[in-house]
Amino acid sequence: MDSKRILVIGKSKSGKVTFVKALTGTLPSGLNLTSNETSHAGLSHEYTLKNKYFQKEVGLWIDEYTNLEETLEAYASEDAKEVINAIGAIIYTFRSYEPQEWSLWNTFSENLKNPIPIVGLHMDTSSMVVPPDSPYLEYVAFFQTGKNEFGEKLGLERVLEIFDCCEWDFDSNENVSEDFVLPGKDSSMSLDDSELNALVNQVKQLRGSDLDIQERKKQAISFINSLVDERFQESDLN
Amino acid sequence: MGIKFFLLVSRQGKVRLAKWFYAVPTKERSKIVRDVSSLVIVRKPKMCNFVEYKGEKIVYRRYASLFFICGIDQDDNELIILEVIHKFVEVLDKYFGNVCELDLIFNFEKAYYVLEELLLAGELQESSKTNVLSAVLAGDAESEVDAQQDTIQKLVGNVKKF
Repeated sequence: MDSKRILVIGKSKSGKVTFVKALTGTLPSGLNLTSNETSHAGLSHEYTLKNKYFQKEVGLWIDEYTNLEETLEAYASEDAKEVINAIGAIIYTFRSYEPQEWSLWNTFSENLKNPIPIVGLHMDTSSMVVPPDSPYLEYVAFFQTGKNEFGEKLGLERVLEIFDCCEWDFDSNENVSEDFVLPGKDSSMSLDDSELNALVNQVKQLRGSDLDIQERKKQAISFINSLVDERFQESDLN
Repeated sequence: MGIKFFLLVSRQGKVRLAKWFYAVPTKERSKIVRDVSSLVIVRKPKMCNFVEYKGEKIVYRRYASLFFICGIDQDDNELIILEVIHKFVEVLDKYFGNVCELDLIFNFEKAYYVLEELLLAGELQESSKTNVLSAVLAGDAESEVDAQQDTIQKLVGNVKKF
């Protein structure tokens, strides 16, 4: 399996395993069915993502937290960079909506270098909320069915739609620009405005200086040396 | 001037289509896309479909999980742009058959063909959905014929080698 993973994360008894069962049809291996108190952190499962364009085996990781702030700090740290890069989508399950947690997820998603779609999956059937919208954090009520006023699917079907549109390959260009830009100049050779202005000012100063010709030659050579990698000499011009 | 730019942005902020009808540097394009996307995505369903942005008007409409966003001048008619957006969506729907975001991801070039048949220099150049669809389908038929000819030529080439 060489595709990214889905991270299913939530508090204890927030509906993580319920979601995994609904998604895959089976329970994760290693799940302790005898005890309700066992943490589900560290469980993994497999899911086959199928649509009319592709079929992909996507792994599921299950994680559990007691303190969301600490958990998100850990995920956002340098040590967890590889883990974050291996995640294609995050499903955050909850039974009761907590504005503080929602805000923490919002901040986390905004600070990610490469945005990951995060779904706040409300597993409770008795209440519906309308949390503040944000680009990378979407609220989905798990038990809803049908379509909303925009013709958008609801519930688990919406989650499947989000999965279909995620990037699951590791070799996809993470830094692709929003626009389809033609291959152009090598970026290492591009200069921004401030650098260009500094160079032009240096040239002007050299031209306008009152130094004697030998001194100006020395300054010109040191200026050219700062531009090229090799040591430039006057004899190179011959 | 008509439409200055036409963007298709998903609910997650991913740009699925971006067409610019005036010259603007790449950095500024990225900034406009970022600003406009974040402006539009967080708007509530009951809010107006027209927003002001840096002296221009942004006209947007949401279809399922996709936001169709156009930038126009202050003097332009926003309601007509809403109609243009709807026309584009109807043609896409007819072309792809119950279009979804996945169709636009995997066939983005077809979405551009449809847009280019519909709009020229930011103005509506063909108001008939049938004509737009016929032009795009004719283009598809031509490229299929070309592909078949290429295949036949390759086969003939391979046969000759033996």
